Amino acid sequence: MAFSNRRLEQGGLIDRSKPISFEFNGKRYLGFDGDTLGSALAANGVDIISRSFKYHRPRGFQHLGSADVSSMVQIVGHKDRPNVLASATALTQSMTARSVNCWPSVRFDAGCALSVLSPIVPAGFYYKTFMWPHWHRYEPFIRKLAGFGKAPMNPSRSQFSSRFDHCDVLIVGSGATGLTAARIAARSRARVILVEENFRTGGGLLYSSASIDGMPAVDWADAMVEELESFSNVTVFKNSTAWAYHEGNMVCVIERNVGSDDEVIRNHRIWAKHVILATGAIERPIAFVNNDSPGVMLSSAVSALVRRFAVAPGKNAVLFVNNDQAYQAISPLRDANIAIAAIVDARQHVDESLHELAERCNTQIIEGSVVSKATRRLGRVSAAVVKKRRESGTAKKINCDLLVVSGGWNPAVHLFSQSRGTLRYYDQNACFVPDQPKLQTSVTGSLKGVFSLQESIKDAVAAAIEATKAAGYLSEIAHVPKVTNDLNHYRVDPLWSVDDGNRPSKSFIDLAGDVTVFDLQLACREGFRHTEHLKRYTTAGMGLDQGKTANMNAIGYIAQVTNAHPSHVGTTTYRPPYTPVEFAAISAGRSGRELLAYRHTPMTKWHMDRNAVMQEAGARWRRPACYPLDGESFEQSIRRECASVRHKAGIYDGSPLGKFEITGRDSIQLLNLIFTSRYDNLERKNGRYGIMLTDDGMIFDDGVVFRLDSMRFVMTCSTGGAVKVEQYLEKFIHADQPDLSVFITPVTSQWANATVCGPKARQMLQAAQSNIDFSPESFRFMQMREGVIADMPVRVFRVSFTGELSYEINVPSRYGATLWEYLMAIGDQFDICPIGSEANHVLRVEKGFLSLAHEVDGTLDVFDLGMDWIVDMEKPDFIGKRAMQLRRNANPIRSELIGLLPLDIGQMIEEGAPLTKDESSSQSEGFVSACVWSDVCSSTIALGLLEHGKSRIGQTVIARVNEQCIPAVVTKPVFYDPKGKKLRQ
Amino acid sequence: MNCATDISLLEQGAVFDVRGNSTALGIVFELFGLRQTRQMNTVFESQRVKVLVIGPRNYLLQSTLDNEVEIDKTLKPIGGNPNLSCTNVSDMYQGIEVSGPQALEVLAQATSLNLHKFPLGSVTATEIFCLRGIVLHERLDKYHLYIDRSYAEYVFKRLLKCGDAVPNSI
Repeated sequence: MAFSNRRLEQGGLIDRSKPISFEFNGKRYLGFDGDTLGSALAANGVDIISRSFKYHRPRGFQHLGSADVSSMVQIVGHKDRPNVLASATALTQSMTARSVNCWPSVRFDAGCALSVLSPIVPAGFYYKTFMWPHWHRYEPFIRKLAGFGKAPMNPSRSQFSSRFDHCDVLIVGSGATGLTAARIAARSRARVILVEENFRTGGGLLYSSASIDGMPAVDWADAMVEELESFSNVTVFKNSTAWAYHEGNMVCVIERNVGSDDEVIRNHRIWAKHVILATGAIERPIAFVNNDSPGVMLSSAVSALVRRFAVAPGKNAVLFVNNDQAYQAISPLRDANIAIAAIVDARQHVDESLHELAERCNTQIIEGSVVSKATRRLGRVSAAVVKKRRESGTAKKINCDLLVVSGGWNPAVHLFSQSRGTLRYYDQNACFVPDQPKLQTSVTGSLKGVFSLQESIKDAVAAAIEATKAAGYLSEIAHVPKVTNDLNHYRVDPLWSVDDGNRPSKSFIDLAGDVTVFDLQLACREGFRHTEHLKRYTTAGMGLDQGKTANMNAIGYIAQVTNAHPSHVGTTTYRPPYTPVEFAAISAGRSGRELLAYRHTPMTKWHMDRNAVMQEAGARWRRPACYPLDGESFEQSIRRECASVRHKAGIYDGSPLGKFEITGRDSIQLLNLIFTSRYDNLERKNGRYGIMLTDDGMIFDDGVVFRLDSMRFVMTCSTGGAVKVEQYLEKFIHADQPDLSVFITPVTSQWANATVCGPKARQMLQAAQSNIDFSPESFRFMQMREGVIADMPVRVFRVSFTGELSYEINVPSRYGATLWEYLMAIGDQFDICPIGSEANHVLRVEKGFLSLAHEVDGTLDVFDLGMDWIVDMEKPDFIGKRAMQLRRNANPIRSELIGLLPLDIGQMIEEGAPLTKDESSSQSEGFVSACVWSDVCSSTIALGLLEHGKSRIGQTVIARVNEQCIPAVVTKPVFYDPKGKKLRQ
Repeated sequence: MNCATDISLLEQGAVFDVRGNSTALGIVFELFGLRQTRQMNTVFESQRVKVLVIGPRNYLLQSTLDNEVEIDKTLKPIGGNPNLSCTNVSDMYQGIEVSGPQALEVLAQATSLNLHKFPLGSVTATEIFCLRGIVLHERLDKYHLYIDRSYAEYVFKRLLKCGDAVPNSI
């Protein structure tokens, strides 16, 4: 067991009475309740936590929370999870973690040899190197060397869920501004949700030396949270990150407790009437040589380590700063007895009060100077090389084991930007701040560029009053908490990078992607100017932290080298997620069969009990593809099922077919408009096949319409098209033709459908207990009857998709399974056979019937399919009529439906195979849409679409499958019963 | 389930989808001794039927399955009204009851509906697990969901899983 050697004896917000044992890289350590994994490692003297993405450089604790990409680890064990940021993760009992991207260990990583090779792997190297003989030869090695953690091999045992929430006011961030705003909103009785990324609320107050209303800041924060939690109208989400802000004022929040035994990860989608963003600001680093070394830390991280976690991150510090706020780190450094060797301030002149502060700490401020390099020893910073910022001269080396850096603050504009709010560059503070919101959003505090605590709180009061009013509530007169002991001014002299003479040095702009200043220089030299191009070429801002620390520095640096104003360089687009989010949380832990909703018919259980092979059939339905018997292959099963239909009787489950009841005064007018055929002359109990076209005259869907009564019709459409047809019809009657008095009721699931087909179908139904006369004289093709079968109310439609005598028997779903079993029982004497969709496909190809999924590709009209008979051009109008006419007149070359018989009768042709004129031609003139083996034809048969197909019957064309040329004769697209005698018998 | 929520399939009832203009709808309500309401998303009932107002011109008439034939007979004489559509959809919907103190927590995982502002006796057409459905606030801590019967198994299983995933806080 290793013991803490940097833990302070007192102070901090940790509970020393609750020690926590944890393991990192195989070693056991002790931390305390209230620690993060990162702070516990720092307390135990662990400097190197991870290795960098590209150059495998050692990295340690450098930042705070979700911006600290250097603290990335993998949680291992039964809660295996990659890409966890140690400094943002609460330490839990028995937590086990290890470093990522290193071998054999994080201290001695063989991959660091890449650092030596860095001159040949600059930004965009993979665009211009490793080209011979092929990039893919090198790709696996490069991928292996780069990257982060490993995705767990076993399914996660964590509980993932997703839920919806609603509130009047959503506040993101629980620092001083967030808490102030939340209290005002809460007291107005509005429903309030407060979201805090950390496991402890308070934000920057947790390590602030300020006092609020006479209390230490942290106590004030605790009191505020206690008050908020006492309100029944307030929900406080800790450990929760707002990761996306979408239209409709919907904010996605991921709530998690990684590593704990009862790990729950929950994605909230929260709709808020008003959102207050109090996301604060992120401290930015300054790029200089070796600025990524362990021991180089941002000032806020140092303050947090000392004040919140009671950890002394070093013994001898140098501060390298360019702003006043950074001087707030002096107080915690003194508290931790860390000597301050020097304060290197890039500004030419520093306020006298700061000089006095330095003197009180027995140190001095070196004005107008910069740290050009951090030297390292034993994997940690050992000295800072200091030189004049704007003059040449000798550099001075100052020994230190802690280099505290502050380049200023960047407002965390990510969520605001995601909501499509605009940003503007705020010169005074050298940062981008929110400008115009697009949604119901208020911004407050340092997010707005207000860095004084007192001013931030005042601003939060105003924002909260505005937000509660916007949400429809009245807030009481608000008390503005009084702040003392705070630095009330923020002056910054922007410094993005310390000039290192354009050499390829390790001066990092983006630690997440190992992007150096040299990479940006190279990109600029190569002509990249736009920030979006530079981002993609160099990958700056594309790492795990999504540019939280890098973006502003990259923009500022580009502005500097191109002599442009940062506002002209602009920002890249901020996109969700703000921090990485598990897919499982988004999908609420659904996987496998649960991932998508599959629909069941009343007969599904019967099919599955008979070992039917189920497959997707569109619109989320799963249908039997075939019913193989013991020892039977799929092909044998399909052939057996086809033979049954052609010679005896078959039955299939047609329930998924889309069904609608259309009623109302103008129902005929509607049908005449949406179908190419005519329905005003359709007699009662008769049906008519029809094709629907889109506005541009292409085939949209097909179906059959039966007339139930004078103003009542039942219409079917394709299984997969049911949803889109319904949406189309609803839009049509409500938006396009609102004067039509028509009512469309979808009834797909109301009716189960068992379709009996084959030459013995009539005989079989005549044997059933029914009051319907199935004789051919009484019940003809394309007619319907209502009656009962075995006491079940039925609607029977005589239509056929197989080319045989066929009856579609529809019954209310509650009777579906009973009807099916009854039909199977009486069909037994007729050798009835259940058939699946694969046999159905073979039968329809033999008959040349249209399948929308195969023959219709969005470029065909009804004439191309040889279905001229279905178009009534005499009708005054129908949707797509004019567009179809115009297209046919304009483009004489049309693809037309044809049949194909391969010269080799057993040769199958892949669906989609292109058709060419001959073997020498490479010009595609069409494609094969379906190909099956047909027992009735004793040959392979195919359907296809071919240019001028109708006039090429008898010719031989070539179907191309990879390198193979398959000759086939063009035929009419009907291979079985061309006159339709069988289905009409 | 680790929460105090009961999730169960409801017995099939009689359901009729009624659409039409206000005059025609008035005739329907008269037949059942009801006074027509234009208030959306409400439920009102007579001794024979319960009416769910799910759209400005779209109502669902609900009763027990025993009454299905009788309701059908009652509606038959007005079936020819050109401004009215009455369709028996008793087999379209599967009802699921979610009840108990944590019912809201379970439903918050299933529907984006703002259940905090969904008072007793409210009904609305919405999405349940991204599928079309109807939510009815039947009693305190008791909700009825109506979804397409073909999705019933899927929705029911997912609701049960949601019931398992309801801790008060994490």
